[in-house]
Amino acid sequence: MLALQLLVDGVGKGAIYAALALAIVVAHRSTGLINFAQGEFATLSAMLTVALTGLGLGVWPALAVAAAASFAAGALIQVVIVRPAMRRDLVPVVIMIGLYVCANAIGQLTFGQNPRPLEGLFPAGGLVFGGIRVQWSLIGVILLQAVVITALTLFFVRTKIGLGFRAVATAPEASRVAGIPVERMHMIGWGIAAALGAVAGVSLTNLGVYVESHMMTTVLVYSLAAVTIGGFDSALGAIVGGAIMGVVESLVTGLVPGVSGDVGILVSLTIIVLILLSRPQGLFGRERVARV
Amino acid sequence: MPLVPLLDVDNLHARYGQARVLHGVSLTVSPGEVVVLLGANGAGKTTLLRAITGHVERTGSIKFAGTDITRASPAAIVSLGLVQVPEGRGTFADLTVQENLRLGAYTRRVTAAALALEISEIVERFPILGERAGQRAGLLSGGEQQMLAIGRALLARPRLLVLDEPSLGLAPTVTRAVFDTLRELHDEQGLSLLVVEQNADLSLGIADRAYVLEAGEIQVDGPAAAIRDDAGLRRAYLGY
Amino acid sequence: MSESRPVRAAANAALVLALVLVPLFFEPFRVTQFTQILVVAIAVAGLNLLTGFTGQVSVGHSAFFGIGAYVTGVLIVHAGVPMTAAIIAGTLSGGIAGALFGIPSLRIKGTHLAIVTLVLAASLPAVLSTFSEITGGTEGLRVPRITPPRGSFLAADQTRYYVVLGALLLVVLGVFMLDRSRTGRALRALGDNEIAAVTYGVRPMRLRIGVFAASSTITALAGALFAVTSGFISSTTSYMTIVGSIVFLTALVIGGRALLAGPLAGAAIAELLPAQISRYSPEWANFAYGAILIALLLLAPGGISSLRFRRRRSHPAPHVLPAPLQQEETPHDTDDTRDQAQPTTRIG
Ligand SMILES: Nc1ncnc2c1ncn2[C@@H]1O[C@H](COP(=O)(O)OP(=O)(O)OP(=O)(O)O)[C@@H](O)[C@H]1O
Ligand SMILES: [Mg+2]
Repeated sequence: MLALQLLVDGVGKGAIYAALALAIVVAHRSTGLINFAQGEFATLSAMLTVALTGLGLGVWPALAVAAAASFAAGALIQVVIVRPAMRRDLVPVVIMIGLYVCANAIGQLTFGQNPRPLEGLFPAGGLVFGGIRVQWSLIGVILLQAVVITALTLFFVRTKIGLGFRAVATAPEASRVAGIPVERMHMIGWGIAAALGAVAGVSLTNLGVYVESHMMTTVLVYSLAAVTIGGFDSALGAIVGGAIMGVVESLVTGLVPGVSGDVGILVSLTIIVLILLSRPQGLFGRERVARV
Repeated sequence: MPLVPLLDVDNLHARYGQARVLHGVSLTVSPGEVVVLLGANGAGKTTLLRAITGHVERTGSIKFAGTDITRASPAAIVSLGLVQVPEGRGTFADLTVQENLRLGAYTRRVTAAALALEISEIVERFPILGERAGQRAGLLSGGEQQMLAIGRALLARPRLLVLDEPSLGLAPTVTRAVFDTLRELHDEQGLSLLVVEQNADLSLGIADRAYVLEAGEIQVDGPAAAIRDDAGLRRAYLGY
Repeated sequence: MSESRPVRAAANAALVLALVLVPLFFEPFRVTQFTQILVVAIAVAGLNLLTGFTGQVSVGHSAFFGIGAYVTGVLIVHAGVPMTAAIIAGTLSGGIAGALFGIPSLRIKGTHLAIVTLVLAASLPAVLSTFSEITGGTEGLRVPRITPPRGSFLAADQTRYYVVLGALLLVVLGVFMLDRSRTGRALRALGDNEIAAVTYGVRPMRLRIGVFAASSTITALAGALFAVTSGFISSTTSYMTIVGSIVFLTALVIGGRALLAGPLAGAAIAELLPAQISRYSPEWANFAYGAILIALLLLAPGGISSLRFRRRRSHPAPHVLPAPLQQEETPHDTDDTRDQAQPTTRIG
């Protein structure tokens, strides 16, 4: 019974990890880079949402505005900071670390040190199902991710820009020859990733987490593990990987006595190392030459 | 050549970083003309095509259909109708054949219905692409991929089609089929062609004029037939 | 690179002399600050070893620093181990952890290695707070500091400074000798062209693990010395978090390839500049670290690959090709294997 309850909670957390993992995958597919600052971007988006609700906006409109602003900011950062460094050996990796620290500092400087709650996106209360409690917010968060993922898939498969994006992701040089504006696709990719991060960050607050500058630090680690499990280019892999990590975290911290949530990070580290050693393309990714 | 050239390249220099590859190349292609560019490995043929289509750092003057495209972006050049089939074909291995074809029209504004019609026309010319429409392009054979690459380029509505070694890695019969297709496109639609080829004999056979590039400079330039018949020229520059 | 060997030797001697004299002319507050810079310089020298020989980037060196600091601190405080023994134990622990990460780094490279080392860096504070009963967690751990030997004329701050300076000079000398040794040559060959290197009998596995272990040992030594010179460590001490890795990387990029002057100059700038800014708040300092690092990398022409140790005797290659295509000449590439055939045209 406990295990089942933990499983349910784990799936909720997993939806958040999947959302951030998806953001990382989209940015990686567009530019071949792992954006280590993706989690911190999401924190900033959540902070912006809090600020907007403070101005009297409802929480859903605030999320929409924050997602749009995140899109713009992500695109801008790609153009101004990432693009000039992209073709240079290992430079982008270090730049992502710089972005991580900068974004975290910006959060602390603008939002302050005090954690603040965000109004829920979904009604309070929930279901009791044979002894297992399921909050509406947990169901809501999972449904929200499902909607986002469906919309994203439709965008990539059905629209012209989505097709162009996938072309650039698989063959940037050939895309250029075909007249696809490669740089614009990189920009759009980072924009979409940042907007997905906004959804991830705000969703996290619906599972009872307060907004503060470190809210995504461990989420990033779990999401990186999720991305590693699923393969750096696979959206499906990110979702499955996210769910796996959510359940793993929930079970490890819930069932092993004396283990706090932080040790889950060590579990992630082990998983990442083992997967990169044995199957670097992940469970769902196709084998392919590294791009960086 | 009475007409104003469709493509007019004058004194073109191109380089990769510090490495200069082209040293003042001039070349023209008139409307409806088939021009072949020959030269040894490393002469700079690919670089010349890539410079013309906006992919390499370049100086000099390139005019296409009266527009100066020396500083234009690759996307802008494609939308003017100067379309390239690159060396190694440049198909999108992970996307389906159908998606590859749709990408050909990326720079144009066409409705989905009109695009579907155009794709069906391409498929009529290359039936294999219809049979494989839903398959990943990477699974096609070399010859099929070349057909796909040409089909995709045609969907960009080219006025001048530029091809870099279309025979690369193809069996002789397949190579012949590719050249027959090019000939047909030229004859039926008046499409202008600029072709880089190692297969001098075959390409000179379909060409009106030819250039020989050596170490980044044009060494020979003249009617294809004359070059083919000049044993001295052939021995000096084409090695046969 | 351009100046001759005697000039460089003289410059280094002058630098060492200046370093020795510095604590005699400054007040204790400054000397303590300089000591901290020397500690960071040691950590950077450790990172420099990894990046210089292999071209790999670790964003997890803050964890090795932290391991060195905490093993030393905990042994002294909770186990009553003598300070010198504790420092050695802390240093070796970092080396062992480094060797463990050296094994996956054989196959995990570039971005993937960065992910692993990033998660490693993120893990350390988590582990520290999990075992907060012995580590003190965010509350921190007070560690006894180095004291002057009895009868010495040096003040406490000067003693600590000289201990750290001695360690730095030893480390730099060690790296210098490694660079000139057979092993150093093998390492550079490995970095240039692994396949060719293996044909000369270079054993990549041992070398790679060895370099990673040596690099983390040095950085752990810096952590150990940090514990016994600053006297206080906590899971939020910036060097133990990802910010520490940023400080080391920033210093590495600023300092460049030079073995002694590089880490020193880098550490000095990386320490003093944000400290200046952080008069207002520590968050500004963190922001400054990130921003300075990004700006440096965007503006510096060479980027990370310019941090690789060069082969001696090879003149700086003219940059004719973009970086990925550029290769230094390989020794077995003699003239008679080239240019045998005239360029010819294939005939179909
Ligand atoms: N990306 C690049 N960076 C640096 N130099 C290059 C690059 N591409 C080509 N070169 C150099 O430019 C010169 C011309 O190359 P190019 O590919 O244009 O020759 P080519 O005539 O097409 O040869 P081939 O018949 O082998 O295709 C060569 O010396 C080549 O080494
Ligand atoms: Mg070529």
